[in-house]
Amino acid sequence: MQVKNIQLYKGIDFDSYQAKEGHSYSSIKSSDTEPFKQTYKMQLGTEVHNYLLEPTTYQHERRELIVPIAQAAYDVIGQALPFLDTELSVTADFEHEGFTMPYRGRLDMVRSGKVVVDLKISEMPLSKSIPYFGYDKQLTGYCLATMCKVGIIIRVNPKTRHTERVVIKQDVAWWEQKVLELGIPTEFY
Amino acid sequence: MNQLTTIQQGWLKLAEIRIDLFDRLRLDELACQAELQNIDNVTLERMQANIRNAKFNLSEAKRKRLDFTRMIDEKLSQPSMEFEKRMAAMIDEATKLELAARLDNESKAIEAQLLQNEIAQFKSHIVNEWTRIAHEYRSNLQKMIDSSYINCIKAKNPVSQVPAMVADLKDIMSRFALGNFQKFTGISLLQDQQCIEIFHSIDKYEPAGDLAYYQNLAEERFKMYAHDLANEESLAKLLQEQQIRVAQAEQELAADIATNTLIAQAETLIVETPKVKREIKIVVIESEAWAMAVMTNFIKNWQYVNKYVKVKSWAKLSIGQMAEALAKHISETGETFSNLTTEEVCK
Repeated sequence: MQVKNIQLYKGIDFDSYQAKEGHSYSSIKSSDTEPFKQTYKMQLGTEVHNYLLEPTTYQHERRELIVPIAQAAYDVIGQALPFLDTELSVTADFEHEGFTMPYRGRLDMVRSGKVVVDLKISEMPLSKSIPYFGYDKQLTGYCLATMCKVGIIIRVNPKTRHTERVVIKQDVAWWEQKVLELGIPTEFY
Repeated sequence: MNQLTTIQQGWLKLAEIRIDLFDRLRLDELACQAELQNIDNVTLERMQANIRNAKFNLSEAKRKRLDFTRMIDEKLSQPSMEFEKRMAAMIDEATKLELAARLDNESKAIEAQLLQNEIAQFKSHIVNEWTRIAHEYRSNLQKMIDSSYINCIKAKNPVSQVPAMVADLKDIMSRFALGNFQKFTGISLLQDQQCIEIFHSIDKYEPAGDLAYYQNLAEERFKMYAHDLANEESLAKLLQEQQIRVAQAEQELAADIATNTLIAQAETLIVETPKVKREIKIVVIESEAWAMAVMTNFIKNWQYVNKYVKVKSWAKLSIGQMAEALAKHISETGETFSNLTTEEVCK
């Protein structure tokens, strides 16, 4: 698969990102299901993300809960965090076998060309959540669009603050299949 | 129909005995009721005598009931419980073996995890060393170009000497050796052969490509020599650019090392460790001093231990429960009490 027209957007808000053209992993995954609704646990994850990665957007909600979780994540990422771009949005064209599909993604942390880091706040171990939610596919999309060789997921258990991290096995074949399903012939793109 | 055995006949009689017992208990109850009827209308002496008689009826009923239930207990309940006891003992024995196996697996898993951690640290060290050596090499080549260029301008070397200067510079660059690979000092579990295999499994830094790039860069740089030599402000600008490049290179090295370390940590294999629950228990010593020690520490630490106390009736709070609460506090905090001995119990 070839990746073309990579565009990085630093500092754009979520609504602006969603307005970008392209298929994201979430949009592909949720196309057949009910409209997106943020649950309490998702909200918790968002607040930790905001506190750690976009401090200016953090509204100081539930500080006593958020700060220790963010601290646990920082203990894992800390050394590398100053060198990572945070909350970066990306658009690109994924091309495969004569078909092109516009792609968009919003990454937690990235050092373009090197590593994508995604933070998950969840009680579910990664051995279960990766196959269940398809995080490996999600991160593969990020890696492809930022030319990164390595995708890492860091999970913090919000209850125990226990952390785990894994390097995902990239699933390029899944994206190739999606390009064939959702893309259009490159000559008409 | 077959003749019944003595035991079978005995059990058949049980129903009769039960009916007979209940009749006798009913008579005792009636006698008790009779003694206590209209008791508020009799003299004090009579009242006391009637209560005495009623209590006698009660104790008689209890004695008859116990005679019957003791027989049931001895002949039925106890023997039938023996099966459970034997099964429980077998399960207990098997559970001990299972725990021992789990502890063994746990210690092997911990050992394996330590080895994996060491492998990850070693790999991270190798990757970071090659990264550092590569950065240093590139940085030195860059510095060499910058310094030579600046020195030539400072010395006002004539433009005609540029080809010779570039050739010399490229020659010197080709003689640059790579920095020394720092030895990893954290090896304690890995064998020499494993270390060699891991070392060779990681791509070494090959400087040829960078050397060619920087030699080319040197040529490119000197193309503008005549202009920079002619412009008085060039030197200051060049020095400023050199400083920026040095700072950027340092920043990039720090970023690479931090990223490599993060990747290496994430790549560390996690060994599945069997779950062994560990609890602290206070060793029971059947003595007054021990009981006093438990009570004293319990009261002294009431603010910390009260959350562990679950009782339906405070009047029934026992020293054993106090010891349990203290043990939970010790498990949680690691605090020790000099007058109480603890032991770790694995489950």
